[in-house]
Amino acid sequence: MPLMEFVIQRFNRETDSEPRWERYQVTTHLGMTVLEALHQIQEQQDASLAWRYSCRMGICGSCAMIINGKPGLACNTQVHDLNAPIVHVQPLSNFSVVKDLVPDLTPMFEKHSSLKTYLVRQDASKTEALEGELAQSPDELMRYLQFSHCTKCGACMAACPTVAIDSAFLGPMPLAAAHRYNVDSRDEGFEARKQKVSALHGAFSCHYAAECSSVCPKGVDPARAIQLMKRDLILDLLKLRQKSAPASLAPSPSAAKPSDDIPQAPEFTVKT
Amino acid sequence: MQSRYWFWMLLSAPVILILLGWHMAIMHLEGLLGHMVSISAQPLAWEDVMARGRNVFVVTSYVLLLGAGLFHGFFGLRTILMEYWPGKAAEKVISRSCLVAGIILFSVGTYTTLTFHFFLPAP
Amino acid sequence: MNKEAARLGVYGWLRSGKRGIEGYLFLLHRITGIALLAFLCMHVFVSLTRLFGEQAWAWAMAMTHSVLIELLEYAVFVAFIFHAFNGIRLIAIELGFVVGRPAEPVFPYKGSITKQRPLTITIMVVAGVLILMGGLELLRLT
Repeated sequence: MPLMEFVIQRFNRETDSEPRWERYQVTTHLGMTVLEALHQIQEQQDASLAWRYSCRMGICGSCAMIINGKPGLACNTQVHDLNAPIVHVQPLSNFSVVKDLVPDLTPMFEKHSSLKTYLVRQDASKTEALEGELAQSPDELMRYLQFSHCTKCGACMAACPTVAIDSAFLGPMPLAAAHRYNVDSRDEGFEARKQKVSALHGAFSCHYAAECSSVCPKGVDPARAIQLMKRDLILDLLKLRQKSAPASLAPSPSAAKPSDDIPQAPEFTVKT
Repeated sequence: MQSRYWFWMLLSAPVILILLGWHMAIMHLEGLLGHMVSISAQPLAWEDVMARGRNVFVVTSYVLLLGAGLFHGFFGLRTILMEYWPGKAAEKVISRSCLVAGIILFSVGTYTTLTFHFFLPAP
Repeated sequence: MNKEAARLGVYGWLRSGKRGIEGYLFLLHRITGIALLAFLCMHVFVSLTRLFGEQAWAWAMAMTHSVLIELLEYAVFVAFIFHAFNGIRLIAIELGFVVGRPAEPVFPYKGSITKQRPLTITIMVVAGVLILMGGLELLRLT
């Protein structure tokens, strides 16, 4: 089984004044991922190595890190696909480091929450407690579905050149999330989000370097979301933005009559 | 508010493209374009400069180009500097400096263009 | 927490490597923009010399004519052509015209980057041709 060298950035704030590199030799096998390599190092060579992971199958976004210079998920990156004898692993850029490969993502989550990234209804009481389902067509769903696949891994934030210099910039993940809700037909929060999103360090600080979309492990394409949002903001400025009627409550299933050939459901066994 | 400034950025871009493209052609591309349109071979000679200075169309275009160019350039510079130095105090200093620099340069440039047009004695 | 965020900064832009075309175009757009602004500021003051008469103008023209200055003027021309054409591309992209409709992502992901590539390549080719033509003019080959 081929041996590969892993050069990993280590940092322990209790003992180190700055990050340092450590080298490990890893026995690899076909299909092995960077995440498996980290496990092997921790189990066999250095139990102090720290990193985040959870699902190990590319759905949670926990294991985002920089692998050979490119942000990506460790569980989704096979070591032999890197085509390099040496693999450099670092924590995500543009974030403080908690320890080793663990970034402090708090600023990203704070920016995300500040944009009201949830369904906002005009009637504030309804935001928390809707009476039923809201109707939405498949076309309306497609307008935002791609952007809802975001796992908040932070790879886009590490890749973005504006995030690299501007600590106040909202960043691709929060902006794409804001757009995801703006174009959701069930949402009525465009006006509420507009102020922050169109302010300094908002959407207009994105200049389409498109690094975010190039590294996104889920194909969310935040760059697309941000440009579409800028279009909406300009149309809104020119009072040309089409405002569609907010999604109405879908008819309740109990109001529908089942077909005659469908048998009745059995009685509840637990009487309330 | 940023939407509005950004929209002016978008509007100033084609204005500059057309006027600066024409200005560059007149000044530098006589060899390439001289076969198709009549362009002076010595655009920087005093007589040619004076002739352009008497032409209302040229003078108006220069003032428009200067205004659009300075707005576009200083707004771009402001954007870059604000990204590098975020924070309310820095933002105020950067915005105001860019505005002042832009106004000074626009005044100087417009004075040069219009003075030449209005005060040059007729030959 | 380690207060010093590992923010890459401007130096990080140069070190990052492995960028797509769009990332480099972003950097060049900034550099050419700053260069053009600096040139414009200088140009306002050189043009101003004509207010002081023909001799002052002739002095200014003599000062600003040498092989080096002609090369720098060509550099300004190149910067203008690149900035203008990349700017046209950015206007199209940032108003959402060539980024494509949202679609369910299927690996390998083809998103806005793929959609705007043809426009990017076309624009860069046109800009390249104009830059070459300007070069011919510079070398007095026309």
